[in-house]
Amino acid sequence: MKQVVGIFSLLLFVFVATALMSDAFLKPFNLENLMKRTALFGIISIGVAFVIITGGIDLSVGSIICLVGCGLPFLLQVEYVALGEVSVSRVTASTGTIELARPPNGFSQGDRVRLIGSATDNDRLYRVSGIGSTGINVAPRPGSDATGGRLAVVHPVEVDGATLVLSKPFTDRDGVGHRMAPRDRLTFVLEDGREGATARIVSVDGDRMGLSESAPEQLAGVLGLARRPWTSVPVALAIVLGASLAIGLFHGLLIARLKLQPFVVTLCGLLLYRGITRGFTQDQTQGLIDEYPTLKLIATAELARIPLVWGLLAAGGVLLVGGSAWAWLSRRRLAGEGTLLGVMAVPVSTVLLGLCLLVWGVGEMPSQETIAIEADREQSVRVDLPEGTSRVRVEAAAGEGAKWQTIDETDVAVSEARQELIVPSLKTIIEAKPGEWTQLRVVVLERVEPEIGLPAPLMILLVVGVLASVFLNHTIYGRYLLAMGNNEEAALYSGIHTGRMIVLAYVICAGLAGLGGVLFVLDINSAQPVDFGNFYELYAIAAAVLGGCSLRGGEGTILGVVIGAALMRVLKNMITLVDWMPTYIEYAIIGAVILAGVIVDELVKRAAARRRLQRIRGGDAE
Amino acid sequence: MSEAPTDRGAAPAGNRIGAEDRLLEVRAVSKRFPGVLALDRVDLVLHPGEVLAVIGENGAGKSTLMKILAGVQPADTGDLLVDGQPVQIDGVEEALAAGIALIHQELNLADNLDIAANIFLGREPRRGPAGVLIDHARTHGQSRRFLDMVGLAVDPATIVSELTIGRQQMVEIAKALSVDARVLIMDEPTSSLSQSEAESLFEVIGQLRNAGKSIVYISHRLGEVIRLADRVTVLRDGANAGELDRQEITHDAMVQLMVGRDIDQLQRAANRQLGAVVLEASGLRSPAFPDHRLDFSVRAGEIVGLAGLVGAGRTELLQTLFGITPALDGQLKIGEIPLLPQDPRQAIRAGMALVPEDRKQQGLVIEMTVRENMSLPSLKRDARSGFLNRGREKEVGDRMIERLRVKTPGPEQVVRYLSGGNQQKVVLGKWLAMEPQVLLMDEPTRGIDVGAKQEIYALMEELAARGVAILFVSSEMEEVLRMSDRAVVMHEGRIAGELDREVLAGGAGEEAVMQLATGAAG
Repeated sequence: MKQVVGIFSLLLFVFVATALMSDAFLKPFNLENLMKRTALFGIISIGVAFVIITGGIDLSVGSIICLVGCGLPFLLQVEYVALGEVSVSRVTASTGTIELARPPNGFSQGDRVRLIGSATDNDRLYRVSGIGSTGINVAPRPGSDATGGRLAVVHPVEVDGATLVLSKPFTDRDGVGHRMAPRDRLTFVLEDGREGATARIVSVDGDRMGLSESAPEQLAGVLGLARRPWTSVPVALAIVLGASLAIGLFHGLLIARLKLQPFVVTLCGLLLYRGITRGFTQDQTQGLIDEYPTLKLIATAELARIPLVWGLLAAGGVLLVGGSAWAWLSRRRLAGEGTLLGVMAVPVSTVLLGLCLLVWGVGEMPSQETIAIEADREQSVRVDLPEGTSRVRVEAAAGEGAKWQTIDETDVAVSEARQELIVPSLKTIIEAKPGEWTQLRVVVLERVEPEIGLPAPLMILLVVGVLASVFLNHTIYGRYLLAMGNNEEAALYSGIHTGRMIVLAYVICAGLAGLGGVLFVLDINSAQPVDFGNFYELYAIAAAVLGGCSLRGGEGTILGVVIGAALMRVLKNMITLVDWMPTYIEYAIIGAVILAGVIVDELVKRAAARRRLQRIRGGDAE
Repeated sequence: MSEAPTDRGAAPAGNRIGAEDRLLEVRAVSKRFPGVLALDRVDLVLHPGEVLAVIGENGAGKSTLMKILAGVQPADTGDLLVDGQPVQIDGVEEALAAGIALIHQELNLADNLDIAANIFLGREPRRGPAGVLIDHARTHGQSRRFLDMVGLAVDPATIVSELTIGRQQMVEIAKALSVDARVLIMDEPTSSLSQSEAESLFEVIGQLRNAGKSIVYISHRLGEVIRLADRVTVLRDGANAGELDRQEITHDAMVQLMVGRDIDQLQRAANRQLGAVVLEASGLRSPAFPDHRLDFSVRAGEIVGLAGLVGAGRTELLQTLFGITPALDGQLKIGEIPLLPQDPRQAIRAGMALVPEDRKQQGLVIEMTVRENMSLPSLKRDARSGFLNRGREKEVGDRMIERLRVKTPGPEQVVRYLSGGNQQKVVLGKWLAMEPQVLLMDEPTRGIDVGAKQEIYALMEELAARGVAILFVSSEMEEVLRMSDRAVVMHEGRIAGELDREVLAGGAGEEAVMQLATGAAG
């Protein structure tokens, strides 16, 4: 626990400092984002921590994130295949004959058809007037002869409110029937032959389809687009996560069996996986656009949305009670060998943080607020309203101490931005509502309570963190990792399969990087192969080091690493939000803080070692 | 081992030694390390042109004293005088300036550079504008001169790694001469030399003495001391134990001062009941010495000493038995099971345990606690489906601390802060928790104080009495003689012979071991 003290205090300090320097920092939106990013970076940092505990390093994390982050949308990319289309071999204008590449199954007399990509009139509707064995006749006749292009049946529909009813089933290119399913699409074709908007099918009930867009006027029919994803979601996830585990296995085997240096192996990995990603994506941005809304929920959902006040009070209360209990339970260790700082720092700062949150929460409690105004006879006055104000009442009084009378009650549009109200001049008010008004005030009647959502990745971090912590501290393999990180030779001499433990650490690291990659891309929705995940390995390494992992190996706690990741995010957030800190010096500030952190950590450790040595020497002399 | 006085060779005829003639003097130097008083008011006098042997058992404080003289470590209290003047030596630089150079036990050469570069490392003759370039002609020319002084006829441009250990040592000596050192401290210089290399070293030492250099010679090999030394200073448990002038230097006199008691007292208690053979090697070939096939066996309840000089292949043999460097071929039977361990896990499963030579590097995870170290091999056995069994772990730690009387504030103490003897007990404890059938021990009492040594001896006897087979490597003759039911002596990778209890316990035990170890017999 002792390792966590310093980093936790630093996090508290930076958190409070940022809150003081920037109003935007404590806004629910920002906090939600901060939590989400902390969760994502926390997950990959935990992985890196496992490798660092073995005394190794993994520089390839960012590139694995890139591989997975671009690979997942790449595998999940969706094509829309036009339905009811047939390739055209020849159009003869004089006879109005359109010869097709296959027998005209699926066409019937009276169908309306449309030429696509042909050399002759495309945006025009024809009606099928006769069906032959190799083609059809249409009326009116096309403008000129042509070859190539495609012919599509414009499927007639009935519009019934928000739904469409299809009156002719779709067929695919081979003339086989196709039942439309949700997430297939329809393109509207207007009476003049032009294509209108494309709409997504939301629901299907027999021939009845609910659409994402309402049908336009002058609708002649629709063209069908069948959705063809490259791979299904489970398969794509299995491929990208399997690939990252395989990469970890690959690294681990090279390092454990071939005795290559971790730095070299993972540096090559860093170059390799980004290069491979840029290759198979041809350096094109990969995105999920508006596909897969349910999958994206993994990264974007909110577990719960609670009023900020209650969130603060609950969190504050839990920390206060928990910290107090912790301090109470630790008091015996204080009597033993522990120092006051070592034993009590974390419980006490937990209690303090709890108190801070409680005070903040109480401050945010909804209350009927009254805003006094410097009334002016001629000029209207601009009044700043508290955040989330939705309804106000303007009151006036005829002199100091006189009874307040209602002038006006009005709704206010709630917005994320600054809210203000313009109160007319006294003169205007008197004109509207006669009286000897000299005083004005605004009473806030209703406020939309600020709410904060708990992002889903926070839960994933919690699960990963608890599992990792249990693994490290309560299984023999965790102990083996720590022992091996401290002294690989002694571990070997004690009968530990050190090679297997090294492989395991790299597999865990790459696996969590893969999971991180999935979450990052689902959150951001698109990934550029050239820079997706760039530098993330360094953020993760920094978080692990700040969290108490020694690059010499054998040391580290999961809680510390998560706090380290949170610190990195708060720092970055601070640089973005605080006005006088230019964002372009971000790296300088982060670098300086990390350096300061590890220097202080080293000095504290040395002091502790000295004290210990003195105690032993002292004991010896007695 | 004792040699005729006429064999001493190059000692100068005239005795130039007088009270006023003190080149180096150490007065009441003390040095304390955590848990042990390494030097306790030690005095030492060195005259010009003499070879002073400093001897003592392991842990007697010889190396610490020499490190203080060479400026590697500062003394806590006491004075150093050079030419009768007090000097303050706070670093190697200052020691060199005072004319004192230490030839390390482990050679301190940059073996990727050539001889000349090593001799002038850090003080290269320069040339060119502002002296930015190394004057290779001058470095090589001058190196030649110093190499001649140590009788090394090798091109100074030779890369050091291409030289034998013996020649590398000569380069070290040449390097010391190049800084005009008047006092050369040699710490176990022959420990890794072959017989002929040692001979040429002795010759060089004689020449240096004749040239007026003083040499402090540290060695366990009393034969060498008899042959070379003009005077002997004996240290015991960090204090002066006595001094012998040239005519007093005999094997028995030295041993008496070193151990501080009669050798007879070192006898083992009683003969034990031996059981069945539980470790049997036949035709075993280790990767370190692929030309030799080894045959030996150890019986339950038997303590077998593995004797020999450094580099005879004893440690390598234990590592092969334990699966760290798996055997090339041959057969090994552990208990009833034929098994050539391919890694330590197999050896451990078969009931073997190894207390390795390098306690801090191989025996312990020095930053972990006593409890965590003690439980490391037995974690898996005691685990419940992969989860730590903390209760059991704590119990093992507490039991071993009590049984081995480990002096520690508690099971949660980090091992780094324990003394050497207690650290060794932790290593023993972690293996005792596994209840091994065969216990391999490599230098089990190296670098630990006398009290802990006795406890470890007692423990070895107790384990043997309970039927554990013990095979231990020791470079301390007294230890081999005292503890072994039987000694297997190795020489250059092969087994030179075996000596049984009667021979070892007899007066000629040590000589018999040394003859086998040096390849003189067997």
